[in-house]
Amino acid sequence: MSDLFKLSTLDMIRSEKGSDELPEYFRKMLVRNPSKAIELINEDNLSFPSLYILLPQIGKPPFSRYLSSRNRDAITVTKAIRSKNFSRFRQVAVNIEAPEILKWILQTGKNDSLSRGEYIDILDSCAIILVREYRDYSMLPVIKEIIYNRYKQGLFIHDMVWAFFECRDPNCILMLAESLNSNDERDIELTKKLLKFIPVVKYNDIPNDLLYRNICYWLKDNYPFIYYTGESFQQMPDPSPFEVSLGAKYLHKKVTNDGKFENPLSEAEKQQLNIFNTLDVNSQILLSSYSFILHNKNIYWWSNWINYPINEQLRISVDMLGGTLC
Amino acid sequence: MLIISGNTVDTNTAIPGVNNDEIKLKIINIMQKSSYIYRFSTTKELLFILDMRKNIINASKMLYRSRMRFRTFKDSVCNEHYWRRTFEGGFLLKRDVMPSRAVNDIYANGQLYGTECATAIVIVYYKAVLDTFGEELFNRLFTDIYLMDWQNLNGKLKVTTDRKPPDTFPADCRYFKNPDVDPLTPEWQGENAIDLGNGYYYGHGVGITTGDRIIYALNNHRKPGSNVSAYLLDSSTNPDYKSLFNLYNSF
Repeated sequence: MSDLFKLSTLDMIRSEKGSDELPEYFRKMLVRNPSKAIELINEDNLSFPSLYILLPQIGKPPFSRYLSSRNRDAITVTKAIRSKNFSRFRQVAVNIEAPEILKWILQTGKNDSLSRGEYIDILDSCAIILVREYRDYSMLPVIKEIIYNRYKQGLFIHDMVWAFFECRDPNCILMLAESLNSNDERDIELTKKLLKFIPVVKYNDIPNDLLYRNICYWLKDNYPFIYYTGESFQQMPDPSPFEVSLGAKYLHKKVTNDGKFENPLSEAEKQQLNIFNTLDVNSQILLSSYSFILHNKNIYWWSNWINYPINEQLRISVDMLGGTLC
Repeated sequence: MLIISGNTVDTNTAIPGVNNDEIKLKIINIMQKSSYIYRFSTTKELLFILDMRKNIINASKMLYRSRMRFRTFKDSVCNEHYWRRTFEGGFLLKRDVMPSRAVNDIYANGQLYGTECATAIVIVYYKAVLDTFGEELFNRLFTDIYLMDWQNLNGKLKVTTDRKPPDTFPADCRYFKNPDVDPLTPEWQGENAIDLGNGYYYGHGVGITTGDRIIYALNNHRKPGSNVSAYLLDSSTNPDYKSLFNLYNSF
C-alpha cells in the first residue's frame, strides 16, 4: 500500500519542474509508455491539483476509461461544478460518493492556488457544497487553512469565508480566534478582521493572548443567545455573521442558530419582550447585560427584578452597572 | 422631524438651495414626517448631504449607461492604464495617475471594466464624492483607492450599514438577499442596489429596474426545487455623510 503522506510521482514532478511542465511530461509518458502513464495518474496519493492540470489529456475517452473510480468521480464533480448549475451536480452526485470526493479535492488541493481563477472557483464550490448542502463540517479546519493561506498570498477569500461561516455554529469563532496565537502577523491581522463583529475585538491595544481569552469568555457567556445572521463581505463593509439576541439574553432564553427561541415564550414573556424591543439599543444592551449577570448570581433576585416595570429595571441596572439612561 | 441649527423645520418652511428638485424634496419630506429626529448643525450640512445623495443617484444611472460588465472577482477586468488588477480581483489605483481621471475612465470606457455588484456601488460612491468635492479637492484627498467590494475603502470614505434604519431614503444602498442561492453561483447570494427614489433601483448585473424584478432575477439563481424567495432586507448602507461634510468643509 502506498504511503499517502508521500508525494505521488506526478506531484513530485510538478513540485520539481513546476505546474507548467507537468502536461508536457505526461504527454511524453503517454506516447512512450501508456501503461506507466495510467499507473501514475491512478496512484492513491495523487493530489487534485495534478489531476486538474492534466484534465485536458485524461478527461475524455479513451483515456478516461482507465482512470480509477476516485479520479473518474473527481472529474465528474469538476465538470458538474463548471456547469454552474446545481441541478447537474445533484444528478451526478446520485451515483458517486460526492462528499468524499469534495473532501479529497479540498484536502489535497488546499496548498495550491495554481494562479487560476477556475481552480480557486472549484475549491470554493467544494467548500460551499460540503458545508451548505451536505452540512458536513469535518473540513472546516481545512477551509480555514485555505482562507489564511490565500490571504497571505493576496488571493480571493470571500466565498471561502462565506462557506466557513455557513456552518452556522458559533464554535467556529474559536477556531478562528486560535490564530491570534500565531507567530505570523498576517494570521493575526486576518483573525481580527474576520472577528471584528465581536465587541472585545475592537480594542486593538490589548495583547493577543488576552484578546483570545476575552473572546473565549464572550463566547462562553453569550453562547445560548448567539445566532447566525448570514451576513457576508458581499453584503456590507462590516458583516456580523453571528449576533447576540439581546431579547433572548434579557429573558435568559436560549435561541436556535437562526435566532428563534428554542422553547415557546409565555404570554408574560412575550409582553416583556415587546416592551424591551421598544427601547433604544444602548438600553437593550444595558438590560440584557445586567439580566445575565444577575441571573448567574442569584436566580431568585433575578426572578424579582425581571418582573419590575421596565423603567425600574433600567434604574437598577444603571445603579449597578453604571452608565446613563437614554 | 428635521432640526437645523436647533430649529425644527416644518413642511411649510422652504429651504434655500433645494428649489424644486424632486429627489431632494422627497428626502426632506421623509425627514420632516419621521418620528426620528434628523439633526443638522447648519443648512449647509443638509444641502451637502442632499447633493451627495443626488450625485449618488446620478452616478448610478451613468454607471449603468457606461456598459461596465458584470464579472465575478475571479474574472474581473479593468483598464490597466489607470488601474492595476490585483490577485484577488480588485482594482488598485496606479501611482502617478490622477484619481479623478481613473474614476471618470470607468464611466467613459465602461466596456473595459468588469466587476461585481458591491464594487460597482463603491465606484458610484467615489464618483459621487468626485462630483460633489470637485476634481482638485478629490485628487488631493483620495490618492489611494482600491476597488474591491466593501473592503479596503479609502480611510476618508467611511461606509456604514444601519441594519434597522428608522427610514429609508433615495440613494440608500439596499440589499436583496437570496437565501437559497445556487451554491455554484455564490455571486447571486444577494444584490446591492441603489434606491433611485422613483420606485426603481440600480443594481450592477440587473440594471435599472424594480425591486420585484431584482427578486425575480435572484430567484432564477436558486438551487433547484427551492421555493424560498429572495427578499429585500430592512438595512441601508451609505457613506458617512457627516464625516464627508466635515472633510469638505475643512478646505
